[in-house]
Amino acid sequence: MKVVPSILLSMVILTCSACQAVPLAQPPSVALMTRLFGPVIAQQVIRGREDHGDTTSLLVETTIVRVDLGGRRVSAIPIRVEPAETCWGLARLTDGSLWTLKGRNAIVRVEADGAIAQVIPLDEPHAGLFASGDRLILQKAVASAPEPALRAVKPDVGDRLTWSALTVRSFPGIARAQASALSLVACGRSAVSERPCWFPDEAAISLIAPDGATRRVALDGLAPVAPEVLLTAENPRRPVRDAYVDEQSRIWVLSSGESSDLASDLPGGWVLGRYRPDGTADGHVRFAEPVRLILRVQPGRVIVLTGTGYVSEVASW
Amino acid sequence: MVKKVLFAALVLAGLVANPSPALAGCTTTLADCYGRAARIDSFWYRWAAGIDCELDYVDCVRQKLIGS
Repeated sequence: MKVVPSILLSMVILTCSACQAVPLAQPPSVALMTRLFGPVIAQQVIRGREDHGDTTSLLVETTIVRVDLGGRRVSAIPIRVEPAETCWGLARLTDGSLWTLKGRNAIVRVEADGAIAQVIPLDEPHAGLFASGDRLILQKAVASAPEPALRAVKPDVGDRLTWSALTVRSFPGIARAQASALSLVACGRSAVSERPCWFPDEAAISLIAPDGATRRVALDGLAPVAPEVLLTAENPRRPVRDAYVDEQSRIWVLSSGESSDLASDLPGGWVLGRYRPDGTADGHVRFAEPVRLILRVQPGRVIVLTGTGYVSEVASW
Repeated sequence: MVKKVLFAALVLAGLVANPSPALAGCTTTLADCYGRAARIDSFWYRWAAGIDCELDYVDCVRQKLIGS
């Protein structure tokens, strides 16, 4: 009759072993997502993004979509450019001015009502624009290795200075145009001074301080994608689609996910991973629908923009 | 320049020989553009045409590579 207590004791021991094997902080495999409001945009490509307080501004075609996360309101301000002209990139400087690339050869300051207040011609074609403090960060459209990928300029000063340690990379056997495309830089948002930026094929980010000091962080367990695959895929799998550094300097990374997830036509990534400041993996979740941007990371929750255009939240871990 | 443009066109032909559908479209367009540029007699016009091919290609792939 001592068999039953022995079995119970064994079950307790096994249960406790299982408890130790699964960390309590491990995230669920599929994130529970709650819609907050929207849709705020359709499926057009987001060409630029800036945050200010509780508001996120998105550049969609030639329209700035202002999303007030606190007030759950959306407004759209068309930039007053000619119908055939295009814009790329948004840069908000510390003085509050908002800039974008008009075509390839000019940066323009956009007023709150969409009017263009200032035009600065560029001497070479450019493909990227960001902001860092009071400086605009520019990327040339076509460049050769190993020149700097990004340069900083103040709108009222002509000198351009190298910004960050990111350089244009060389890819043997690949045409210069393609190497330039593979060296295009994307940057995410940050709650601290370092900003996360990355190349499209790499499973790593560069954390760039306002003075340009750069710290490269390889992301544990995230696979890079081969350049020839990236350049020929319909919906290329991108190791890093968006990144956000939270107040504790943890790095949140939105990834495309495995190819089996890519049956959907909606834009976005399917996996959200969290990494410690040194790039060590710290858990991940999968989404039931694709996510385009990490809008905010707040205590207990991550606010995202989904492929269907909704502002939604998922529980943090 | 002619050799460089032709080499680039050859490399691109290799890349699009077994394409997944579609960013391949940008690559095919680039290869065609390089091919047309290579047939221009004037050095400077040929060089400028090659640059235009590269700029159009970067525009073509940018939204897929770094757009959100």
